[in-house]
Amino acid sequence: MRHILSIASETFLLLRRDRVFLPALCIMFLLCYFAGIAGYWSIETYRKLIYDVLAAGFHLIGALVAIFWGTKLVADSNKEGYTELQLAGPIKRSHWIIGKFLGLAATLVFIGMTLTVISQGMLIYQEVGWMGLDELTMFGLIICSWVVIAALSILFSAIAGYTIALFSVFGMWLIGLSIKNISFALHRDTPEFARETVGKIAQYWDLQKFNIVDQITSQTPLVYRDLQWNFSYALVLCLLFVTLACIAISRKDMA
Amino acid sequence: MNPTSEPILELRKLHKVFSQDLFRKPTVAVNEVSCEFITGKCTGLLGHNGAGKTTAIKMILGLIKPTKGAVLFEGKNLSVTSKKNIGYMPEINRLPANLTCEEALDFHLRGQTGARRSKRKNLVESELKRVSLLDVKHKKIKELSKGMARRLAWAQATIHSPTLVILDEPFSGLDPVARHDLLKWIKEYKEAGNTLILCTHELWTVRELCDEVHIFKNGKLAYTTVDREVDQHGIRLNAANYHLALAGVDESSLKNITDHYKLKPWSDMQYKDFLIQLHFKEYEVAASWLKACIEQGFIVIRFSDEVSIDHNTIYKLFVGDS
Repeated sequence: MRHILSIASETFLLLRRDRVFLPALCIMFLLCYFAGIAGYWSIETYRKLIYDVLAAGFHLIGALVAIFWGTKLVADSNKEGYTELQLAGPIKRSHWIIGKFLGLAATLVFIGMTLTVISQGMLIYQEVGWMGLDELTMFGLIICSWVVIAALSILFSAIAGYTIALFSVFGMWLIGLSIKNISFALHRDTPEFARETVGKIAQYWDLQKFNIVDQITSQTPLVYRDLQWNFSYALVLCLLFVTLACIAISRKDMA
Repeated sequence: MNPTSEPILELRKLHKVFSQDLFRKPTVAVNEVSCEFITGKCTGLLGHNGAGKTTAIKMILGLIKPTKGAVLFEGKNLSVTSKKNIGYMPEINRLPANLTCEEALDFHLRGQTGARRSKRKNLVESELKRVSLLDVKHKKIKELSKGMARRLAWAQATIHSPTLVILDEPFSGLDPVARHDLLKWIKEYKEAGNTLILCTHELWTVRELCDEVHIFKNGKLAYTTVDREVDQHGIRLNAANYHLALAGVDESSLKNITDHYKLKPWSDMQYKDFLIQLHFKEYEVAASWLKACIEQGFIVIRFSDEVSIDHNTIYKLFVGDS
């Protein structure tokens, strides 16, 4: 356990020093501001537009950070030879990869909380008011989706080099966002096999499960029992990806 | 701990084949290598680039899984827990650029020993003081000079007091002062009864530090001074026979030397392309001859000239037979 915590805290420190979150915060700040301006010109309700933009920006920033940092984290460590140096000590490879994931996840949660505070500040400035529990749950679910993407990034970077891992995770992220809509929009002439395949993928890999912005903007009360499933789904995906990453790295030669 | 004949580390028929992809022929990096590393001694691991030294070291450290064979540490199969008694100093600085010296050692110690924060802090401070880096403990590694980074790498390899330290080209790129310091620390560590494995291309380090040598060639253990193969090849480090190589000697200097020394202290001399190579029976004779030649003005050593006195057998095995 101490090895995992040691690697996780070191990863957290290194990622914080990377200062990628600074542009992330600036972009979020600007998004909030422009959302406010656009709200005056939109035919949508002011609240809906603000939350739509906030949720989209929130997801985009965090997902990109998770993809780029997740893949870069392991790739940089391998390139610098630090992985070699650490694994030459009494640290199990599985502990190393779990530590890396936890460090990244902690950083993403830290960024998520900071972005939520900025969003709240902007909402007060735009005279929308304080966020309730439902709105905070929406942001919490989006942070869960970042952590899932982070786990996927760690998995791919444990298997492949930086570029392949980056493109693979990026592709998987886009599929996860769009597959549900694609499965609904398939033409009736689509072959049964293709329809079933898309349906199966949508069943198991659907990042829209973490998007409840429509319920928030339409002010439909959230059913928290249903949301537990969404959080469980995130947990299962993380466990699956990190387990696969552990298996992949334990079989790999650090040549 | 005193040096004994017991091996701390043993490689048994260690074999590694890299099969990179379907279309390339598999490469045998290490071919059934069996050798021992004696407790309390410094063993040099020599060989050309691609001879299999690095692969063997990575298998010792558990970074590469052998295709066949085993690595035994203190008589048992190498495990993750036994690796806490091994220190590793890689050839180039591999610590994260964005950590400070203090943090790098602290995280390393935390991973290696799990010691408490206060104990770790004291250990890190004393180690940084020992390698004269206490003043720059808050500096990031990317801001360190190469010499400082090597000192930090030495501190990182030994801070957890391992009984076996593996050094991969520890002196590469160091200035004479930094070399001297590092050499002194390595000698001190060895004198404390610890075992060292020195992977090197520089023959002077073998002379200064090594009690035994293993020479790798094309993935195989070509020669060793440790086990019974020694007698077959008649190699002993103490069997005095030294090779002196001096670059930048012109024809007139060569004539002066050969004319002056009617009773030649060397056993053999070769001269080609301004490089004079002499064989001596004893190291001291070679060194005093060189000194006398310089004093009498037969040889002018310029800063850029290369002078080396190496053990002849090692030189022949390592350089001559290439």
